[in-house]
Amino acid sequence: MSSNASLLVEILAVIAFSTLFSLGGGNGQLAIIQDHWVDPGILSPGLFAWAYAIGNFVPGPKCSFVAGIGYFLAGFPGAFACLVGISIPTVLGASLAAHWHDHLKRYVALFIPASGFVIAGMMLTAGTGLALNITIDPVEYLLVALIVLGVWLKRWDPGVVVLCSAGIGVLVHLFG
Amino acid sequence: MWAAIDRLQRELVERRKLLTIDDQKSLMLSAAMIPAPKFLAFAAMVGYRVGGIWGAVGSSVSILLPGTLMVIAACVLTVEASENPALGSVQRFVGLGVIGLLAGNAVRMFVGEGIGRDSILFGLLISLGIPVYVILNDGSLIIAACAGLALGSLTIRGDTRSGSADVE
Repeated sequence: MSSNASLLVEILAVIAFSTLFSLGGGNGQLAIIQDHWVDPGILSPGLFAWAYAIGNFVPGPKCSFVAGIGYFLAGFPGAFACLVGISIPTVLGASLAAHWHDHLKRYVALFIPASGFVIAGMMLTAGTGLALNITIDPVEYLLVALIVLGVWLKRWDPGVVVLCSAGIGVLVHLFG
Repeated sequence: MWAAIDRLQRELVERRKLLTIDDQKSLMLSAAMIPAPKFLAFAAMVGYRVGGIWGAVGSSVSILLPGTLMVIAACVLTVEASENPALGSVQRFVGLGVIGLLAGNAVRMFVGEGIGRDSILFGLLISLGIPVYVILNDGSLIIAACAGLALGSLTIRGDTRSGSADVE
C-alpha cells in the first residue's frame, strides 16, 4: 500500500473512530483529532483551530469541519476520506437504532449519564493540548478566560466567538 | 439545526406524511443516544425510516455535502492566502478563541443539569482524570476515554444531562 493510500485509510479510520465520541451530542471528536495529528506535529494547531472555526460558519452539521482537517492533511482525497469516515458509524448507528430502537435503548442508556463527563474531560484535554502548542502571552490568557466564562455562563454562540476572535486578530495586525 | 428540523417537519410530517410527529420526536431523542453527531444521526434515522439503509446513506451524505464543500472551499482559499501576514494574526486569535470555546464547553458539559452529589465526585474524577492522565502522564487519550466511560457507566446513574456541547 502506498504512503498516500495508507494516510487516507488512517484518516478514514481515525475520523470514524472519533465519531463514536460524539455520544450525547458532545464533541469528543475534537480531542481524538488533536491527540492523533496535532500533538505529534503532523497538523499545525493553527490549521486545526482554523478548520474548526470554519465549521461554525457553514450550514448543516458543524462536524463538517472534519473535511477541512482531511484537506489540510491530504488534500481533496483526505477531505473525501473524512466525509466517508464520519458517515460510516453514523449510518450504521442510526440504522441499528432505528431498527432495534427499543432493544438498544436500555444498553445505550447505561453510557449516557457518564458520557457528558467523559466528553468534558476530552474537550478539556483538547483545549489544554492546543494551548500547550501555542505560545500564549499573559494578556491573551485573559482573553481565553473571558471566552471560557462567556461560553459557560452566557452560552456565547461559537460563531460569534470565532468572528470576534478573528476581528481582534485583524485589529492586532493593523494596530499592534 | 432547529431551522433544518423545522423544515424537515414541514416536508416529512406535514406535507408528505412519511412520519408522524411522535416518530419525529422519538427519533430526535434517539439521535442523542447514538455515538454520532446529533443532527447527522437524526437525519440518518429519518432516512432509514423512509428508505432503509440507502435512505440513511443518502440523507447523511446530503446533509453533510453543502457544509463540507464550503469548508473545503474555505480551506483552499486559506492555503492560497497563507503568505498574507494578516491571516497569521487572524489564525492566532481564532486559535485562542477555539481554546476558550473548548474549555467553556467542557465546563458547560460538566455542569449539565440534575447532577447528584455522588455523580459530581465520580464525574470530577473522570473529567479531570482524562487530561491529567493524557497530558501529565503522556497517556493514551483513547484508553483514558474508554476507561472513563466504563467507570462512569458503573458508578453514575440517573442524571439527565443536557448535552450542551456545540458540535452537531
